[in-house]
Amino acid sequence: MNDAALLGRPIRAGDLVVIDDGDKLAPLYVRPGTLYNNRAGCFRHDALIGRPFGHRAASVDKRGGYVHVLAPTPELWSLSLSHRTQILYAADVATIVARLGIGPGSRVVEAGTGSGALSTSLVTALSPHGHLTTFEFNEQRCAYAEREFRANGFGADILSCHHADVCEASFAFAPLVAHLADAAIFDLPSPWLVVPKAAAMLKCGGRFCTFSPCIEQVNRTAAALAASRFSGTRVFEVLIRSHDVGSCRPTDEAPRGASRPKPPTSRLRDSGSGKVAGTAGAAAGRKRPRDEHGSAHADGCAANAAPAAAPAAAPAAAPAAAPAADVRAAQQPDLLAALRARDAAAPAEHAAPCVGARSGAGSVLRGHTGYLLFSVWPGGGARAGARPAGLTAAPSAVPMATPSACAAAAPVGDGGAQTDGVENGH
Amino acid sequence: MADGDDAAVQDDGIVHEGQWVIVATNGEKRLVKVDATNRVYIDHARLPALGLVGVPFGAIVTSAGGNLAIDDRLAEDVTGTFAEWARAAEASSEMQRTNKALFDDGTAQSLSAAEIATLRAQGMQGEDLVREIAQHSATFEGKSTFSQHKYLKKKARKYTPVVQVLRPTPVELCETYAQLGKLDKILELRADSLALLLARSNVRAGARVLVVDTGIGLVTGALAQRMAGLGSLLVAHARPHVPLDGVHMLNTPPDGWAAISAAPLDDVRTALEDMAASGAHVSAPRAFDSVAAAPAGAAATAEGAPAVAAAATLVRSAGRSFRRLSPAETAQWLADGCDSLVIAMSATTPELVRTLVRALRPSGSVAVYNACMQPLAQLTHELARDGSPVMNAQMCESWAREYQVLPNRTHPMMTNVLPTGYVLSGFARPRADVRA
Repeated sequence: MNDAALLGRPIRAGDLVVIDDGDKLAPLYVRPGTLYNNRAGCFRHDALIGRPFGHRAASVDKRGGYVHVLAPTPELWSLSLSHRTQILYAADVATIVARLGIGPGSRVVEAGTGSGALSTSLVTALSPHGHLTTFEFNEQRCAYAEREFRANGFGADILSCHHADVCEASFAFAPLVAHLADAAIFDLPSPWLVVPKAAAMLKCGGRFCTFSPCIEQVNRTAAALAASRFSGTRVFEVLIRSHDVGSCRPTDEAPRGASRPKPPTSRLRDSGSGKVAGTAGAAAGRKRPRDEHGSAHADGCAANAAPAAAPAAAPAAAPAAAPAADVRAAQQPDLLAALRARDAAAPAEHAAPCVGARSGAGSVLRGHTGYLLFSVWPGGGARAGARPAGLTAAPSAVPMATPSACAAAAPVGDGGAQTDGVENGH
Repeated sequence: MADGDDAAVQDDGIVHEGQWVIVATNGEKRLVKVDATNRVYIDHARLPALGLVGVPFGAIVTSAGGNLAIDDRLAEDVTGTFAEWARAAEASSEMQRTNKALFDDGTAQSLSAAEIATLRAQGMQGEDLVREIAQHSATFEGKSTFSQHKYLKKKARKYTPVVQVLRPTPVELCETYAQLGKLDKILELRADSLALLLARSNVRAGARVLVVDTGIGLVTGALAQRMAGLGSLLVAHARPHVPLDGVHMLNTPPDGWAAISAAPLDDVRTALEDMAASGAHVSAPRAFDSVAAAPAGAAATAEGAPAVAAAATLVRSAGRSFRRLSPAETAQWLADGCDSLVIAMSATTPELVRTLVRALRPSGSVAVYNACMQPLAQLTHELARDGSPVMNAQMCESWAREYQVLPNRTHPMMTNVLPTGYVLSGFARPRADVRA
């Protein structure tokens, strides 16, 4: 996955691809001589090699199903990976990367790693020059995540994984985090415990972030940040609302089967869009019906059943009925009555469908993921008078930046000689 | 704005002449270019913007005798912490003191404006001044602890404004334009919508990106920042002027500019339509396309040689300037294909998007932003069709709100920036699989 020029070439043996069967996404490492089975059918890995990413692969068995073979992106990966833990959602990930200003060259610290979903977005954003140091207190999860990172092409040069509990009193970032960090992200049950240590590990103007489901956690973290002299704390809640797009009609007298999608009759092809992009979960349950002709290669989606059907329905009804309506309209002096007569005669033609969007129809809206807290470590011990002039806050950890003036690329530790309080002594 | 010359400096965390800064007074943000013609307002004093040169981003500045000076405290300390009240509010669940007896006729404050001005002239400031004002308020004692704390902080902001020099980031620029009431300049992009657009675009260092941005170029600047000069960013401009103000405002360093080239949108459309007419498309899987920016560790292959030569003509590492592509170069760039297509236009037509999507390599990401729902709904509807050029077309809206977090007083902010905007995203279907 860590290859910016991936799409410029065909699929090769050993590549990671994301298989989209229309309902579920699954990661797949292409291994020659192997078969991949899912509910859409059976697929030969060899048949994928040499084809472009995104191509439609047909099942070799009689089921006649197919899948799309997508190139991996951080978001697709997070939706397809096996969840060992609750993962962060797209809106939260997007906000974290943007508000922390993570870009090529950023040095970032993360705890805990969990399933590695956020880590993958972070390390992709900071590639190819930066570094992500990620900590996980569950040894098995840590090993699992590290195996996946390496398999996905994120080498030790840009990502290091450590099994450690950063909240433990005896834990220190210093020997493991080699340089002061531009940003630190904590998705932990008790993030307030790590605040003083984060102050020692962040560079001047470095950004601090926590993700907490409960507001009580946010309150405690905010209090700890104030006590540790962090500055400019802000808290956000971000969600994605997915919108279903489909045809709607000015009247309720839509031709049957045209304005509303039929329930799925085939489980081979369901809506891929809900699963792929509906990360707030709102549209994840949307089903893709077979197309109107019942073809085995149906790729019709709920949203487009109507336009496909409406023109088909309209000519059928209109040519026969419309002339009659016109005759009647001509005979009646009352225009309204004429229109009514025409409506009755050819509803499909008159009440042309328009495209409408509604928020995540038919499924439960994910109404909450967590609160994102952002704060800035002003550096220099953050105590007025205790700092030399000029060593004030530099809030934005900015991509493309050489280290900020006051941090001057100071290594946190040199052979483990440093302690937690090192930066406070600036 | 001139392309080039001034302040082609690397970012060292300090304000340089020619750079842009955001000056936030009590959180009210103003965008200023640090040059000889501009002024900044600090606590009613009008000071030359050049005084900001050398100030670290994030610093608090004050006016001292007509000069700009750095205040070496945290913003929280300048405002004053009013520690007794903060502690009391934390412990309190007090509901006894209310506004029941409050009679608001403007006579509660016995200090006149002139008297307060005199106190300030005598050097009283910050927390001391505010405490003095509170003592002269007849209604202060009757307020609840929470209300008192709020009153004190409000007065502190009034009499001791905190002026902070911020680095312009895409998020800060969105917030600044919203506060200025000039959201139309940035296509009404809210910070969270921009974040979502950037995430869905999958733009990263080393990528080849086609962008259409009809705002001031904030989206373009944000993309350039994510690429950090690695890869190739082709700006298709709808009007003769190339909108790159956003790239300037983000203080993009020269190596960030090096990845940017521009071509008229018409040239791009023509080239793509020609490709369509001739049956050529970018989806033919080709050799590894090694742009100058191929990430470390990526193995270059022998068959990549022709692609390298093509890409090399685009790379120019001059100062803060971009490269204008000729129609032939534009066609060449498009024939190489791109990994991401980002469209942020005030008016997007399905025809345009269908044409531009042809530039994407198979499985490349498309992300389209629009402030209005209907054009995107129409587009999503069209792209969701079987065999359309975009797979997994999905329209989303970002919902966000900020919270006030204070002990016993945590709640969503009373106001929020209203436009949410909509983002359509999906992946390019290989042309061979596209059914008309």
